[in-house]
This record gives sequence, structure tokens and C-alpha cells, in this order.
Amino acid sequence: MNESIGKLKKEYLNVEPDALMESGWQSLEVRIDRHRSIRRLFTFLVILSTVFLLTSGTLSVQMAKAALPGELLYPLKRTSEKVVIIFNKDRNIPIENRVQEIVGLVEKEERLEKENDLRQEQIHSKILETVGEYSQEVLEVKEDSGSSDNFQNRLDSHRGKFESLIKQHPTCAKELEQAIEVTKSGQNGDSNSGGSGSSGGGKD
Amino acid sequence: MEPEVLHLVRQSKNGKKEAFGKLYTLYLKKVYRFIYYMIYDTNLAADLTQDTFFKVWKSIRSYQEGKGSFATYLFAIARNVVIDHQRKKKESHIDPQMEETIPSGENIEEQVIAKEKRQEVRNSLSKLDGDNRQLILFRYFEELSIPDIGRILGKEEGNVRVLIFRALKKLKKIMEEKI
Repeated sequence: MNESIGKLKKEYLNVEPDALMESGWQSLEVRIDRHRSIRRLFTFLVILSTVFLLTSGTLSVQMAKAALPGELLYPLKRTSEKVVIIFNKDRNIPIENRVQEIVGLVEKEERLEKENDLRQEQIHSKILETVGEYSQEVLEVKEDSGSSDNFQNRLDSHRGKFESLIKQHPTCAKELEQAIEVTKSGQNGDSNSGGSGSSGGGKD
Repeated sequence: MEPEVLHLVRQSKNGKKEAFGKLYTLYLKKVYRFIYYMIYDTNLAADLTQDTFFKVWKSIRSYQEGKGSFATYLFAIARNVVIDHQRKKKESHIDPQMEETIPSGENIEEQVIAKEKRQEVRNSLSKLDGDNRQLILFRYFEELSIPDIGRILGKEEGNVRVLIFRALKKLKKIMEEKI
């Protein structure tokens, strides 16, 4: 048996890859080079796509910061606001954003009025909606830390802003007065209202 | 593993194509004849040999020096290439007579004798199924160790010994039937 296997082995070892002996490596080398080029191209495209996504994503977020209710990037702004709050836990951020939006909407209303743009009517309802959200945010923070000086100072600043806006933009006076009421409801020892400010009771 | 081979493998892992070219030259015959005796087709064996080396090039970084020789790694990939091919072709039996070419040129008599001898080997081995055939090729023709064969097949050493014993017994029976 060993002899037989030995014979078989001898013939086995005599088999030669004739077709590959001369040019096998050359053709394999071409294949390897092609593979390398494809891999480099793929890597380059991946890097380019990543840079593009990061850049455009960052740009979008930056552009979204100035977005107002009703604008295309506004949902992105609200989403990134929620993400920021998860990590930051600073409840003043949404309050400041709502104030910035109220100011922005008022200024936008004036521009649209000058241009006789029909969207001007929609702006008023947007301002009211935003004032409503502002009110909610203020109440929530007031319950948590309403007595803090920082919070009170912020409300003072907001009130001053709204009062100044009324003079410049009287067409939005009604909405801005509501915003001022919100700041008052958030402040301690409000001099105008009769009650101490939980639910604003009627003025005398 | 021989130091020269080890050096070439390490260089290939670093992307040195020339070093891999030397490994190709060193191991071409081994891989080719194994594949040829698994599928009995000269042209196809050449293609699958190239496929094997291409796959080795792509995956050589995953080769670990402590886990078997480089030849073991090559044969494992070659075996998988053959299996993949056979799966696609779904051929259950290869006729070793099929691909014989007509001798031509000088020394026709020598060519015919060589052809008959090759035919004898093929006829004996082709009667074994693929699993038994590869065991004979690995153990008795390529002289791989039992542990290395175990690594290629993904089986325990004890199991490999039993399988080789059975394959040898079958081959003996085939050769006795021919006499």
C-alpha cells in the first residue's frame, strides 16, 4: 500500500501549473492593483461623505439657530434644543429661545407688512403660539427655581425687551403685552397684580 | 515556519506586493495541484488558484503566525474556494476523463505515458469523495501534520486521525479492485 501511495504521490507532485508559470503572477498583480485602486477610491469617498455630512450637518444646525416658527429649519432647531437640554439640563435655554423667536417674529411681521405680504396675518398667530410656549417654560422653571436671582433678572430683561418692542412695533402690541404678562407671572412680588402670582387673579 | 517565509508573510501583511509575489512563486505548485486533484480541470484549476491567492492577499492580515503554518492557511483558503465553486456548479461527480487534451508536438510517446500515469492517479483518487480525497492529498501527498489538517478542516485531531484512517482504507480497497 505504501508503495502504491508513493507512486500516486510521485505523479501528484509532477503536476505543473503550466498556464500560470510564466504569467500567473503578472495577471494576479494586475488584479491586486485594481483592488487597491478601488479600495483607495472607496476610502476617499467615505472620508469625503463624512466630511460633507459633518459640515452640512453643522452648518444646518448653525443656520437653524436663527430659525423662526414656520420656517424650514425650525424643527431642526427644536430638536437640537431638546438634545442640548438632555446634556445641559439648563431650562433657561428654551426660555431664551422663545424670547428670541418672539422678537424675531415681531421684526418679521413688520417686514412683511412693508412688503404687503399676505403671510403677515399668519405671523400674529405664530407670535401668540410662541408666547404660549414661553409662558409654559417660564412656569416650569418658576416651580423649580423661581426664586433665584438669575431667573428673576432674566425675566426683567425679557420684560424690558418686550416693552421696547411695543414702541417700535405697535402692530404687535397685543401679543407683546401678553408676553409681558408672562414675565410678570414669573416674577416674585409683582406690583401690578393683586395676588402673589399663582394664577393671576383679576387686577383691582 | 521557515524564517524566509515568515519574513515574506510579515512584509506581505504590511502591504508589500513584491514579498507576496515571492510567496506566490513559492506556493503556486502546491495550491494548484491540490485544486487540480479536487476538480480535475486544468483551466479551472488555474482560475481557482488565482482566486485563492487573491483571497489570501486580501485577508493576509488575519493570518496569525502561532496558529499553523502559512501553507495550512493557504490550503484552508484553497479548500474553501473549491467548495464555493462546487456549490455553485452543484456537480456531484467529476469525470477525470473529460479534460484530457490530445498530445501534440515532440515526444508524443513520453507524453502519452505521462498522461496514462496521471490518469491512473486520477482514477484512483476520483473514486474517493471530495472529503476523503482531500484527506489523502493533505496527509500523504502534501505531508501536512494532523494538527494542521485539523485546523484546515476545523476538526479535532482525534477525529482527523479516524477520518484519515477510513480514507486510506477506502483508497486501498479501490486500488485492490483495480488489480
